[in-house]
Amino acid sequence: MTLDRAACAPLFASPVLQDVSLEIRPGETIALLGRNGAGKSTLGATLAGLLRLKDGSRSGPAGGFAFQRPETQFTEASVRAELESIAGKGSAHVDTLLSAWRLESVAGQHPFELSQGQKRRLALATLTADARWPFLVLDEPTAGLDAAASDEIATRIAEIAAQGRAVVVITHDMEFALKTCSRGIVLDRSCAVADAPLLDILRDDQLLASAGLVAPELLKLADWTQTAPC
Amino acid sequence: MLSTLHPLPKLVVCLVWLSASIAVFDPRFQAGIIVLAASTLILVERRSPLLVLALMVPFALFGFGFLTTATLFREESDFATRMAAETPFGSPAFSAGMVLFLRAIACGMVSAVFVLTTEPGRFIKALMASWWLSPRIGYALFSALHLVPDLASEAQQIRLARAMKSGRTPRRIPGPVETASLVVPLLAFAIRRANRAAIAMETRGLGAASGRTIVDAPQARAADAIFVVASLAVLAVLFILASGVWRAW
Repeated sequence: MTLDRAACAPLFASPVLQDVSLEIRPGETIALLGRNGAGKSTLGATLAGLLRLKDGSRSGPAGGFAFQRPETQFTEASVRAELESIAGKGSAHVDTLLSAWRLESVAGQHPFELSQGQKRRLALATLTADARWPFLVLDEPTAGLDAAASDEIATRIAEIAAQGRAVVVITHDMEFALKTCSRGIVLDRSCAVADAPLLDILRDDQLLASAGLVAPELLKLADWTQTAPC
Repeated sequence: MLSTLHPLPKLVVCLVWLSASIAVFDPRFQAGIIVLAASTLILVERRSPLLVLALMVPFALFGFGFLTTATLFREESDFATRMAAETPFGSPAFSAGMVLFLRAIACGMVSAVFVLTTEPGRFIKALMASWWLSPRIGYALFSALHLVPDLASEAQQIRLARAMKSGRTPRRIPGPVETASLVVPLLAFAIRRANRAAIAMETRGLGAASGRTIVDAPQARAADAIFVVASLAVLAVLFILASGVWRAW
């Protein structure tokens, strides 16, 4: 999937990003970083093919998009029905999905009755079950989750990438980004100011400061252990 | 500039202008109000002329109904026809229709001046602080102010999610079927939000009892008095010029 000099705008609004050019390759894990209002969700929805460009061009297939509030994408009356809407009614694959995503015990419940972690898992399960999407965009996948649930999402992202699908993670959680992604894109001043290996971005203090970001403590600690004299 | 004024004197001034627009059956007076209101928005408030023109469209369509009624169904608009008998448009029926047409736009533009220059939160605070608006209603209005944009955002998210599932890019304007299908999810969203707001108010001890402080309630200043006097003076001058009273002096 490629964006070329794209001007990205939310529905019924003026562009919030200009002149964005990037490419998503199979199996990549990409962190989309930037301060609040930088246009991360807008770019994510544009990458997924959900928003029309105001200028420039987009080529490639559409992607799956996991919304910040997972309830948004649930349309069925039960967890099982939600998965059946993707995998097909009565499909044996549904049971496999329920088991793989640890949702068997809530299969008959309404999606809105699930805990936040279960909702996230269901949203990801529906996205990964659909073979139409060669890449997924996850908007704040750890919002409202405890450490164990975040860790599980990180593991799932690694599994999805290992299957050859690219994953774009929109997040403010730099530790999570460091844990899950190998490439980073930083949005600031209405454009993509950096597109590089994530470690390079997280070590660029000047870039981070200008974009309102802070390097994860874990990386600082790792760098210190390498530079501090024994 | 008008945005910084106290909302209540501004409301009173706008109501006086609206009353004058309704009471004075003269096309020049109505046209004067339209020009003054539009000029205020464009020159003082720096609003786009295109926006101001777009704002006139619904009121013009509404007024056009009066114009056609007055012109085509004269029996129905006898009073207006008699009132407009001496207007400069020749045919009394057409003159009456034109006055009603311009009056609809004038009332719309005066309302637009108030709405576009008044921050809703300040207006509600001013009503609570000065005009004894019940806190029950005031806080409900505050909640609604937050809910409306969130509701619009939620509707867009749901539309995007459904478009993703169906494998198509969402249309800019949803069709009637899509709109109807959004009603239940949005209602559920609004109920959940209302519950959370009610719990938040409860935990903060907000009740209907009197004796409360209102943070940042608008305070009347000298500029408000100057605005009231100046705008009423302009209205009086407009009336004198339009009615031709000055010719008798």
